[in-house]
Amino acid sequence: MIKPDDFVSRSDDLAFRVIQGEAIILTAKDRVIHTLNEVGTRIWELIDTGIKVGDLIAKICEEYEVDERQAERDVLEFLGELKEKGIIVIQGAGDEG
Amino acid sequence: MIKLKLDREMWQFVKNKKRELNLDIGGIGLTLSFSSPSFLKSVCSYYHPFINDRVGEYSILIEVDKERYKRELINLGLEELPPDMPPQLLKRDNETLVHLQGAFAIIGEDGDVGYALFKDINPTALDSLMRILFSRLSLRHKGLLIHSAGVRMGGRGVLFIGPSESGKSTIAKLTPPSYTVLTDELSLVVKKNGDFWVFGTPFAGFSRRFRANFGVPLGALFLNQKDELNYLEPASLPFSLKEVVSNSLLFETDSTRIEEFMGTAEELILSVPCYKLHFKPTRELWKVIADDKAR
Repeated sequence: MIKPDDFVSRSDDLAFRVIQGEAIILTAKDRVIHTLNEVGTRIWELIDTGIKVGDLIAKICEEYEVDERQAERDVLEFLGELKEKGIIVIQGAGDEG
Repeated sequence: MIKLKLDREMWQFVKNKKRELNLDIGGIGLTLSFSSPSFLKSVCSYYHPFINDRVGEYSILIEVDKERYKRELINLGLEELPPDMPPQLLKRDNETLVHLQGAFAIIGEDGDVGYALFKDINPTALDSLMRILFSRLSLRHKGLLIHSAGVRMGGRGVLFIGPSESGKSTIAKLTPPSYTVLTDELSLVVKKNGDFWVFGTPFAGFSRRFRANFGVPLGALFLNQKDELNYLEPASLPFSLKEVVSNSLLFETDSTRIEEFMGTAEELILSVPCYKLHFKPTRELWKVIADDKAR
């Protein structure tokens, strides 16, 4: 389970393009294409080289003026989906390296 | 685990016997060396328009040996693929193992030779292997093998892109006689001197009717959308990229190659106009294509 203290980064095993505000991601291991909507693409951009999950939630709250609890629930669920598809890597706060 | 080794003596024997087939698609050459003369004979007519005498940049030894196939399958820790299972790609050190129905092949990442072992003479499995090899070679030439019908209209080529049942063969069959169908199944799109060109391939659809061995500069991409009316709609760049990527053959697992693939697809959609082609299967659909002034 992903927590706000965790650190999220993009997987190395993919190629992506952000075109006209839409992220298109191709994962290397299964060669499957994934597309993200506007908010998903914004989250993808914010992840960039890596970000603390709590900071990501705070930025989404600020940019989209949504309730913090709602944002946390939605972002964590979305990150869970990306993790399952091998698109992002989550590093726990207590993990080494 | 015992690694499958290329039998160089066998290769030399085959070369001496001149059991070789040189294929060329859009300037990309591949040489097949057959241990079995019957296998070679069985595929000659299939690849006929694409056979030439130039030795390819990549060569592969095709061996048929049922007993060895069974033995090596066990050695490699593999089981026979169940029917209808698509080819599997397994990365091992600096090689890729391609596991097909009744065959497998070892293809080097950077080298120029490969080795395939077939259970028996199987042109269908060979064709799957050829698609895999050409898709990999194409990528190294800034090219893609795209599920599409390719048609020459005057001095330009157009592609009708879509998966199975999206209307590629239907569009090809309805093509006016003044145009030439290059393929109704898989087109090779490759960058030459700064422009993308479209070439026919031997990888034909069910009809096996359209297999033209020539190319023309690419003028436009049409993304097939079956509909009740015939009309064109400009396609957004994200949609176009998604369609090109999802309809192109990709048999790479290396992230550098995946990035090259994505880069080539992006360059392609940025280089020519892309449209959603809404169509119903009548000759009228060609009117909207011919009327379009973008090409």
